[in-house]
Amino acid sequence: MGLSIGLLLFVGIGESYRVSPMLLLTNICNQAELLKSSIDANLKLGVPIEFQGFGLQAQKLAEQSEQIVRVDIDSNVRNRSTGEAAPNAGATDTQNLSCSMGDKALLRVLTIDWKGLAFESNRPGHHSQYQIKLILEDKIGPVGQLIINPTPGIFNQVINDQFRPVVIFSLLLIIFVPIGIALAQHFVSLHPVRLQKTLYHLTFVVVGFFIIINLIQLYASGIKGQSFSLANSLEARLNAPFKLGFDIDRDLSGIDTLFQDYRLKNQDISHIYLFHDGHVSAASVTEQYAGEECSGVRGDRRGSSGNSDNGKIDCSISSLAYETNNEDFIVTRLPLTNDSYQIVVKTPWEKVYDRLWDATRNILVLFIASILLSNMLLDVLLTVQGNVLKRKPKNGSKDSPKDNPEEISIQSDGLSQSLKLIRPVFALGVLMEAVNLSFLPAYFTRLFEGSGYSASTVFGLYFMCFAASLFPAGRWAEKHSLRNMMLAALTLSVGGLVGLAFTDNPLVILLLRAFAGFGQGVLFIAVQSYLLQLESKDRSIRGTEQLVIGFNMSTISGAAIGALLMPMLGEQGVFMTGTLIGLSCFLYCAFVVKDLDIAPSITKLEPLENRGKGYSIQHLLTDIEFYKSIILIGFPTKALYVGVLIFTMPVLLKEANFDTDVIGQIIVLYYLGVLGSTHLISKFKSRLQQTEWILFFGCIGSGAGLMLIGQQNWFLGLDVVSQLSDHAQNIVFIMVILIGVLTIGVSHGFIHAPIISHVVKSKKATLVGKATTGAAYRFLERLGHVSGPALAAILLFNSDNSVRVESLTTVGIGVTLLGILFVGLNGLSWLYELVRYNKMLHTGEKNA
Amino acid sequence: MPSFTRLRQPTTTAIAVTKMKRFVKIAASCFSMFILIIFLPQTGYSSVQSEAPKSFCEHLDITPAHLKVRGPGCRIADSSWLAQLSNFKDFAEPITVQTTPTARSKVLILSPKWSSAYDVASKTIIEEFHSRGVTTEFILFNYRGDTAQAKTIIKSAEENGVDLIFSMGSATTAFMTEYYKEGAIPVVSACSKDPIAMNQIDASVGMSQHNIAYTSLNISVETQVAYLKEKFLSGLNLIAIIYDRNNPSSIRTQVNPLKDYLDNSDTGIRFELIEVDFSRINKSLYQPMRRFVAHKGEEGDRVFLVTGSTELFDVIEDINVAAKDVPVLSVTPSHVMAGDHSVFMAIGVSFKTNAKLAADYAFRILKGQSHTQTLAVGVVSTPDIAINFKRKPLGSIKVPFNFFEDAFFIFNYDGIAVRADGKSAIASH
Repeated sequence: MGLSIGLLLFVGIGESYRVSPMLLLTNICNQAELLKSSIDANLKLGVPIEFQGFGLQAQKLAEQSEQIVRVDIDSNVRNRSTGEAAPNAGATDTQNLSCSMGDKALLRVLTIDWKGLAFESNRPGHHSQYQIKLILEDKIGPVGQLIINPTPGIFNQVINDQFRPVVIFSLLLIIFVPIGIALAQHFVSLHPVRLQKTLYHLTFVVVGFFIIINLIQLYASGIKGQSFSLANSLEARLNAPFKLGFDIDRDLSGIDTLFQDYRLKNQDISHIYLFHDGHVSAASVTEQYAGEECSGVRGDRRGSSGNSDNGKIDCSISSLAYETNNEDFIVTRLPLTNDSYQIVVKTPWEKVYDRLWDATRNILVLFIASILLSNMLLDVLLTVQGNVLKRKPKNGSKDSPKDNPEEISIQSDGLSQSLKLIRPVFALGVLMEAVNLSFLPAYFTRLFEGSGYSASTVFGLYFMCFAASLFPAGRWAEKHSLRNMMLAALTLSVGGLVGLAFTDNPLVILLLRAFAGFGQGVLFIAVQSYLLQLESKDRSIRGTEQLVIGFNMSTISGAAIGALLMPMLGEQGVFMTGTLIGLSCFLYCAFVVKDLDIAPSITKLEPLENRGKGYSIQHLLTDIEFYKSIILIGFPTKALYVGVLIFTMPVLLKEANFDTDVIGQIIVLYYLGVLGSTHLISKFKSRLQQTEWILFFGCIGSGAGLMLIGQQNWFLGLDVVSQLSDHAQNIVFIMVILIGVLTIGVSHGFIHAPIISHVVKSKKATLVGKATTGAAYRFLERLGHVSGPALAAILLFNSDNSVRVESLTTVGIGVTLLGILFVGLNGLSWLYELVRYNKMLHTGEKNA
Repeated sequence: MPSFTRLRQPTTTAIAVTKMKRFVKIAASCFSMFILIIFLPQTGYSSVQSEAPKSFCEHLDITPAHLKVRGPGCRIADSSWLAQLSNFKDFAEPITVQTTPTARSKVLILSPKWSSAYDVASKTIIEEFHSRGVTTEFILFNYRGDTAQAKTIIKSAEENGVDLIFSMGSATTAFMTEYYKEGAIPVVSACSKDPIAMNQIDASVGMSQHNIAYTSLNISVETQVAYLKEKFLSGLNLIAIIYDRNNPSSIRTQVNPLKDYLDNSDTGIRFELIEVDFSRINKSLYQPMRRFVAHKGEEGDRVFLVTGSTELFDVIEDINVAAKDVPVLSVTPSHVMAGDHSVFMAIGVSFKTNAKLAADYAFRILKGQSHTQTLAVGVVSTPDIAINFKRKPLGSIKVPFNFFEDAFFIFNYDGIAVRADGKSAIASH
């Protein structure tokens, strides 16, 4: 609980660091730009940079602004040759910020003050120092620079002040909720597990709710500050004519253009008005709101710098939503020196909500990831707790276990517990790699630039080693300790990952990824074999489903958590996080997991003869059912997963201008679909004995999902849709993509786990051994992984690297046909078996 | 605008009355003109010529205060400069100006006469060098239009190890182009008309390829038209260019380039030429102006553009009367003055801005960052703007806000300066 609430806080605060400092920086830059434009204007008018008045203006800004502590003017910039450092450039602990930097770049520069979130600190020198340098220019070129020093710790302080109560409240919850749970369990004995999980999730929701509320306040105040500094800047500029005895309406034009320039620089602002005696004198309004309030206010008014705006716009101040508590807009109003004039700046609340949506989406994804992980960890804890409780009365009892009438039930419980105990091994093992998923391709591309290797070489090597380890691991798993295999695999994986944090040598990285690939492959097979053994003992245990669930759960959680951690911790930090997860998994495996005894039921199924390697392969090579499953279902599904979902979909979504994190979250929907349907199948599998039909429906669903995405243009071209607004059409487009991806995910859930059950239940598989068959299948399945991107490049991409969307329909039809063929062939073989059986019966009767 | 105003034609009597009124007005504004003549050279604005001051060094008061000459300061040049000049009967003593106790470079500023415009330019150059931390000894020499003296001082400059020469004014630049383009010391022109229009540089090459780096006192016609049409009067479609037929340099550098540009571009602006012959000014100036005004359509569809000429500027008030409510603009910022004797607005290059550009060129040459041969003609891209609201035509024409912000001189509706040389002139208000 502490871990997941901590992670939630980490993400919530991290999200606030992504948005709030950016708003603050814009605010500071607005103020700095105001001073810069004033100085620039004077420099262009011939006033020398050494003019003392500039220093006074700078001092005044520092005194008036809460966000700026000092402003300096460096007049020696043009005397330095290119590359020569500014006198204060080498100042220690001072980092340069730029007004044009994006939120991600800013986040990389900022140092997060974690301690300040819990304790208030005013210690001097405690906070990081930042500087913003703006070039001052006259008509000839740069003559100096304006050095803005934001208040030390300003970026942290705002967030810390806002979140400190939330952190303290969360800490209290972390301490008191478990006590509450213990007390509740003491008094209420019904459904203790459900109670525990409910209270845990409730705590998560409450903390999440508080984080969102605080984010709203933080963003709103940031946007208000931004609007205010902008209005302030305009006020200063528009007051100049009055100070010289002129009147804006009477003497000057082009205010609309000025407003438009401001609005375009500050994309959050929707309206800027200049009111004169209660009527709009000048305005700039985004297209979205053009004409909504004033018939004369046009969006993006241009060309009015001449004298085309002589007439006043027919809109009175009373007709505008004007109060600062407006429910649609944040409104800032400033009177000019001539108080018949007022500047009104409006920012829609939806800008706050848009930013909040990112945070909420991330929190939601994290919530899902956290539920998945915490459910698993809680199960483990409850299992361990249950074992301890059960052991106590057993120790006191003199009855032999054999005399115990509940022995069978306990045995079944034991298998179920083993399942619960093994799940974290695979989940954490995959999680340690999955946290890197979101940034690894970009990281390797950057790192390998000019080295002669490409990022695809590393991925290729990783998958090759993964695939190469499968078959030998499967063979090894038949006879040796699975626990030791897991430990060895985790050692390789952890070694491969921790090395990445300390090296950028391409060859070493290749070697490390090879280790990691081997490790992950061996771990996969070891856990799969363990689950298959459990499944063999008890048919109610769905081992392969658990494997698929574990893989997808960890991928979802890892990708979500990794993407959220990366901006704050950096690549090395995330590698170290992955290493810690791997080490925890190793320790868990060493102390909790035990090898299973070989059950008699399995022994019966194993062939008595010595099963050499050649013997196994010989059997597999002659197994038509095995081939059919691979060629018609397994290979296309994996090729589709890697080729379409991992390779093509991000490009397609990028073409549609989706952000990278949104793309990641859309892909997560696929994993959720897989997870949901796998879970569903594992529940109803006892009623769904015919795995052929499950696989068939999986193929049909995959095909339908692909066809849906492939026909997006057809949907958008429908009369009903094309008549909608751009916004609504966008929603339809997003819905088509989401439903398509989810459908493919759900359908793949019908395939990923059932296909293993389908493959290992064949007669040949019982001869070869389930672990070997499973490993062989996984190995061949990997060919789909390897060839997926190449097939996608051929089938789905145009020569200019754009996605040929319509081709997805063709692929969808192909997948559907393969499913039909699969069922058709099964029908034929069933008919063949029936005919043969009838023949045998007929022959038997004759003989009789 | 009421129709009777448009239809009214000035009669001979009306013109006589107007002239009388104008005389009175001129007399009345004498005092303010006198003040301005004193004041403007201090601010670096006026181009009005001044006599050589008794003590040039006192006159060359370098502002702001902390930049005032220190160390060796301002004094008559030493004997090494005077030796060869002493052969001339009448010559101005060269002056040296040094803003630091020691100097690492020597620069000669060569002027053909004493002029407040050249004073402004010289001060600006000295201030710019000081501001950039270049320790320099400046030698200022007025060769009084005598090219023999100029040649002598150039020889002295070579002997005294001068690093760079500024040729001040079009006449000096023309002389240097002819005499010294293959010389040993690099030369930068200042306060000189467009070298391309003056045929000093091949337009297709755009650089000198010899020892002189040129700057232009004219803004490019593209910028000029863009400022008029795109930033000011979007409905502008006709420009009447008023020029003095006896001023070939303004014809060459201002009239012809604008004419050629409007002829060959798709700005949608046509032009009419009003060639002024001062011997028959009514026929050559006022009558064409009246015709031009009489056919006025939409407000802001036409303007008068007065080109650089002292004689034309002398009759600027008559031009304003004849222009009625059509704006009278100029390309010479010095055509915007206090009171009535002014155009409405000027968009051009001031001597100060041009001198800053010249100083920048010189700095780059001295630092070895650029070479005179390859430096493109220095043209100021953001022109200087000056506005006199007293000369704003009646009607709804307004000044663009960014012009107002950028204007380095603004005179209010009473013709009084409210912003002078970029600084508010009514701080006490």
